[in-house]
Amino acid sequence: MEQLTGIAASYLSLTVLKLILGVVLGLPAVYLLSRWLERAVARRYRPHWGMLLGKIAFHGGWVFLALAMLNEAGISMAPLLGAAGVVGVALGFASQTSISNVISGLFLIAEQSFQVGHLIKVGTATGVVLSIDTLSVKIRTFDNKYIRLPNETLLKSEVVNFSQFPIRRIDLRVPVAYKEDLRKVESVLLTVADRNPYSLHEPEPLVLIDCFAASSIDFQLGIWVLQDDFVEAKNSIHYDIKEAFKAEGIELPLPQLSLYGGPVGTPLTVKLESGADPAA
Amino acid sequence: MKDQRDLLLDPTPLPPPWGRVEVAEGETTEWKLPYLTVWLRRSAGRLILAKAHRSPYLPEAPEPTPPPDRAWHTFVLEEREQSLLFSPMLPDLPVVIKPTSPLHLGPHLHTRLYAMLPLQVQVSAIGDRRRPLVILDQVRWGRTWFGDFFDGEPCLWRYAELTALPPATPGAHKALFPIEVHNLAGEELVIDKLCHRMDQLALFCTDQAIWADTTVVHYHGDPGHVSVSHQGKAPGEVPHALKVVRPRLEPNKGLVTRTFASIKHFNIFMR
Repeated sequence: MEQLTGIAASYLSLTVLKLILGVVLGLPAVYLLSRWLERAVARRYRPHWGMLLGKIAFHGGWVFLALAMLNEAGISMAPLLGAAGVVGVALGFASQTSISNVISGLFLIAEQSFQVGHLIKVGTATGVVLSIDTLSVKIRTFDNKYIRLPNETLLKSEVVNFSQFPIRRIDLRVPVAYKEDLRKVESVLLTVADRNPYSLHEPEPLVLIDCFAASSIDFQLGIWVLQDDFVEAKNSIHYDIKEAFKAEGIELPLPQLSLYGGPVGTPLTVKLESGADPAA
Repeated sequence: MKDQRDLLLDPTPLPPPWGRVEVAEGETTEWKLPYLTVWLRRSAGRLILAKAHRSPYLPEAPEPTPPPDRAWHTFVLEEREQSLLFSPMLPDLPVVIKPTSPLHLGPHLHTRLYAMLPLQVQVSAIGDRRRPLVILDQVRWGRTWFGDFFDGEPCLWRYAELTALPPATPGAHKALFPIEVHNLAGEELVIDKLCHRMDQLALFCTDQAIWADTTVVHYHGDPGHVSVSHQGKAPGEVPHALKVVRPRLEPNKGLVTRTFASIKHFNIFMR
């Protein structure tokens, strides 16, 4: 009897030792392996592929480890798997949204509409993509807010990616007074674009007369810039236009309103009485 | 941050204003090129540096003055680094040269052209060895894009004459770039713009001017079928000029490079 108890105790202690070793060595190994996989894939391919594969490896790894340890402890998997089937059906109904997000995430990654580090706009949210995860995409806005967008929302919404192409066009509406010489305005705008340090010479800048508006003739100036220069370019071109118009005597008009009184088309007469104080 | 590798070989033959500059402790020293002014101060083992550009579009503009203190950059110097060296560098991006008017080169003709482009300025500290501190643009370069809307590379942009003769007084702040174009095609070649790659060019120096080595272009009849090579020695006009700056990329004379040179350098003539 004592012999049997001794054998059982040694068997139990061996099993416990194996379980402890499994936890102490297995979990760090799974963590390190997933981190290595994430870095290797991100370096060779895309950062978000690395993140996704790293997560799959980590979660898959610890599930495998848990199953192996249960097996080692002598707990049969068959009843658990049977119960898992029943629980799985219940969970399936309860987690439709999550599963939809997971599948949407796979589509997002396959479609490659954007990557980690890209600047995107979804609905009213604009920001830099921090991560593309199993359930959601995380972005950081310019005012440093953290926004979590469910993958399903992204798949259903219009996503604008500002970083997809290396160059972008900045379109500016430039109103000028009706009295101005339009060809001179066009020439000044092209010179401004030519001298701006951020404006690319090719593709060439574009100047269009957009419309005859209520108080102005509106020009459209389009300049092409490198992605990284967008903000500086937008600021500097506004400064340059203002300075160039000032130097050339071109008026940037304020909104104007014509008042008429009496017969149609006769302007309202404004008279200054002699001796009256105009400031009064 | 620009490429900080020291490509300078021997600064001795460089014409003024290039060369050594001594900066006395506590005093402000000025170093000038036509469109660039650099101010230098030395204080407690540190170099404090500021720069200002003059616009070529505003020749009447007043002389630049030192900027406010927040615009100065401070470099920590080693104890033995007592003087500075100003040396020329080639631009770190390809330069698209836009001549005033297009050049027409008939079938089976060749020509030798000269372009003058401003150089960058490398500031190095001189102690037991030479240590590059910073590279400054001499002018505010225009920018352009070489490629399509999906892919390509940024380039610098310069309006410059493609002259048939080298200028008599080129000025030490610019380099002369000889370009030999051979039109081997049976059709006219119109050179409207030229994308001049800098990374395999070296700089050579006489007592008056700085030259780049000659770029030889063979045009075979299709904008995508152009082969470009560099001679890697002083141009024929100044055979005794000394090499002062080595290329960023040493030309590889391997079989693969020679065979695929046309692919690597295709499309020099932008259309």
